[in-house]
Amino acid sequence: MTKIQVGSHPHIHSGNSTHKYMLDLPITTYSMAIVAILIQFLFVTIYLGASFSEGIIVAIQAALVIFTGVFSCIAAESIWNRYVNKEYNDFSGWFRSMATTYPSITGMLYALSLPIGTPLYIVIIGGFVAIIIGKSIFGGVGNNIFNPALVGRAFITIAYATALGKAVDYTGLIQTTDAIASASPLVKAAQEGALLSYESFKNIYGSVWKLFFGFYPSALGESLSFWIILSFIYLSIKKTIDWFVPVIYIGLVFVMVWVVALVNNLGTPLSEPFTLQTLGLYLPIFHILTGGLLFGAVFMATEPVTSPITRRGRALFAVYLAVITFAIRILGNLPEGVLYSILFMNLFVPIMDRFYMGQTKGIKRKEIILWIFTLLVAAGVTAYAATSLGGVS
Amino acid sequence: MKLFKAKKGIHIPGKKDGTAKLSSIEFLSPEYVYIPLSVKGTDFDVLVKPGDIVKLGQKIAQRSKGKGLPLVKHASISGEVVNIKERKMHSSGLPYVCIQIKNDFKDTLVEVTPVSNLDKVENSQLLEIIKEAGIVGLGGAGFPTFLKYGNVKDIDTVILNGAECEPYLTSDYRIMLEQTDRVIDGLVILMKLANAKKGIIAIKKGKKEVYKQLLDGASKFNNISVVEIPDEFPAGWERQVVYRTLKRSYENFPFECGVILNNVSTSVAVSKAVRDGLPLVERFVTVSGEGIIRPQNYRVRIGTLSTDLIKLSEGLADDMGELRIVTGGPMMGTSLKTEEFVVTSELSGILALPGEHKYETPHNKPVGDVILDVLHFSEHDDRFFMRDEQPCVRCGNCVKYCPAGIQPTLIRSASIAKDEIMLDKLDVSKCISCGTCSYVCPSHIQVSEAVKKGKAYHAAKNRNKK
Repeated sequence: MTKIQVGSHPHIHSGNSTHKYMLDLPITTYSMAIVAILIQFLFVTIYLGASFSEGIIVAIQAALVIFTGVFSCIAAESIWNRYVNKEYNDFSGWFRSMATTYPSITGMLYALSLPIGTPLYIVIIGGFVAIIIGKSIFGGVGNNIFNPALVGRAFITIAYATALGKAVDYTGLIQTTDAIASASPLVKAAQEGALLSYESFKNIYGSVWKLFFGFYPSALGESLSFWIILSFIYLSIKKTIDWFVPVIYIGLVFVMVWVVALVNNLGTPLSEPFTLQTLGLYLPIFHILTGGLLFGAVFMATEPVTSPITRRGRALFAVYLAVITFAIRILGNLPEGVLYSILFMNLFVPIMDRFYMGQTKGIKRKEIILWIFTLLVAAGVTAYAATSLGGVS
Repeated sequence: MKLFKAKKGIHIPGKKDGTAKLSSIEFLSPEYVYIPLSVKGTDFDVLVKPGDIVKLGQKIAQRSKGKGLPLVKHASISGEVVNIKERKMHSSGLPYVCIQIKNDFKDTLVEVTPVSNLDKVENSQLLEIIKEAGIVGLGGAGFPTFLKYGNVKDIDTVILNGAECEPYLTSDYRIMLEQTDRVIDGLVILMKLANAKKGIIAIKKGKKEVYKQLLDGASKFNNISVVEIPDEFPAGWERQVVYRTLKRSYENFPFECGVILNNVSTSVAVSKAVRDGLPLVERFVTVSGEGIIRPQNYRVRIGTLSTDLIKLSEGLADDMGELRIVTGGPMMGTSLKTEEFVVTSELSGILALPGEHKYETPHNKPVGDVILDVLHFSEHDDRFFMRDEQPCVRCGNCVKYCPAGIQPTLIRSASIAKDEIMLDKLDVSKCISCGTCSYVCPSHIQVSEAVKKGKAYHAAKNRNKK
């Protein structure tokens, strides 16, 4: 006799699961870790003139940083779930706990945002802060306010500022006299003033392709622009992330920086032969390819837990991210703005959800007012930056 | 800004192939029929008593209290009345008081007065015929049809809804294919009733056979058109049908924007009532689902027992563990405690669907099996669904696909917290209980159940205020 089960509707399910949804991130980020190690090796051997054995040392150092980052996050989650949540007491329970709380993804994103020379004890501290302060004490997956990986990164950036300031420096690892080896491009640009001239851009970094393929000192994963763009295409096609969030974020930063370059006459007019200097295009390209903008926009700003729940809210979120990143990079003292802009905007997620509450039926009047206000803020910040930053340094 | 609008629906695999291609089987001679009245049975005037001999189509009960007067019930077979207070399970999941009739297998018909020329009858006469035939909406809501046409004004279009957006169900599809002339004839009658100039039949995209046949049938009339609407759920929802065919929207009822909607099977029933004088005594029912051995559409008398139909389909599969017996579609239908219930006029399908299992952490298994189990590589088994509920990660799928354009997951948290003000702000009353949010949720949360509770709570609070 067949048993009959009673339950509420719907009686079928689409069959998608959070596991499937989350599996796309390891596919892109773990492959990125391998590419990152490879690129580090190629960078020191080809561009910094290091020997093969020195290259291997650099690759091992990169692998160690990545491994420690991931491992510390998994360890933190394991300890918390074992002794605080009392979730498991055998292997299958542990594995299920790890598979449903995703510390490996947080850990990999955190590790990829670290520079190569980060001391390993700092990596471990950051990993524990990321998982425990960033996620677990809020109640675990789905309840965190801030992106956990960024919490860990921000903590060690502030707490160990001196150690991390030297972390992109390859001079400790290999013998080199190359000027490029000692600081990340954004730090150098900040030292030269916000308006980087085309000459200094070209003198230091040669071609834009070097930036595109990650042959410059930076965090391990953040420099791999080509791989991040490939990941973005993959994740968008699989609908794991909302494609418009990175597009709006990066596109708006591009436009705003370009306006600054245009107003300050950094480029050559269109009548001259087309180079990167035409209309000052090199400056926005420089700002997109260096630092954590691509990485943050694709992997951090699209994290569902810490972004608004409606699609219109996410678009607005991306616009404000761009404005804050631009303001920090161009106007502020810090060379890098992506980290803090995402953490700052995570705070406003409940307000954005509240704003878009209720039935979406056409476009409401208050929504138009908010968008006008937002675009005015963006235009105002751009105008202020463009006019206040003097001439070419 | 089309990108940031809420999507109107989601494509759901139809799973209709099993029954759509098979022509329906007539099953018109059950041994007993049970004509359901209501839960208590006191709001109906029963016109027969046990031992009476009734004919096919004879009026046996009439509603005397409550809304939608007068709702008439007819004997769907000829024979002897056995009991007028028999309790049987209704397709809504509640036991109803039924009139039990024993079949004499003669199908003796009552005297009928068919109408052949529409021009000779008044609209009020037509309405009286429909009222006496006891015709209700056959799509699922069971709203009496004559009420829709009670006092019509400024109606310019009658839409026949043949979208049938629920998976598995093919009864409307078969009725459009097998009784095309009846569908169109019913539409003509309804248009005359509503004084409408236009008639539209809305069907789903990709049903070429039906589309062609309906076009052929409609070519005789220059004011009837066939419109295809996308293959999405819930495209058959009244609001969406009106919006997608005419680009109109309304507040509460479709007549506000000059439209009346009816199901295609209702149209067939209207045609039969007017042309043959035959009241509502039969309907099409799909018997389908993974748990049914031979899925099939049936033309049955109202009041037939579902067990008869399941028996005709060679019964339920017994190798699938727990099954769910669902009346209606899998998205919005009710799951019943028993497999024995009465086929009512609202019932469009009887489904036996695989049950769901709560996920359990594997113990004492080899490491490899544990890893595969936890990562759900064994999940995609057609025979059951593993519900592994996990915390909401705010992926926004429910918000993206909600056809009403509200935020189910926020409503869920407000509903758990019993936050009445929040529920009000989130427009919980706009929910249509379509179940899309639970269907798409990757964390396997029963969102729609929580939303339903929130809606009920909100409604109760608001009633107290007034």
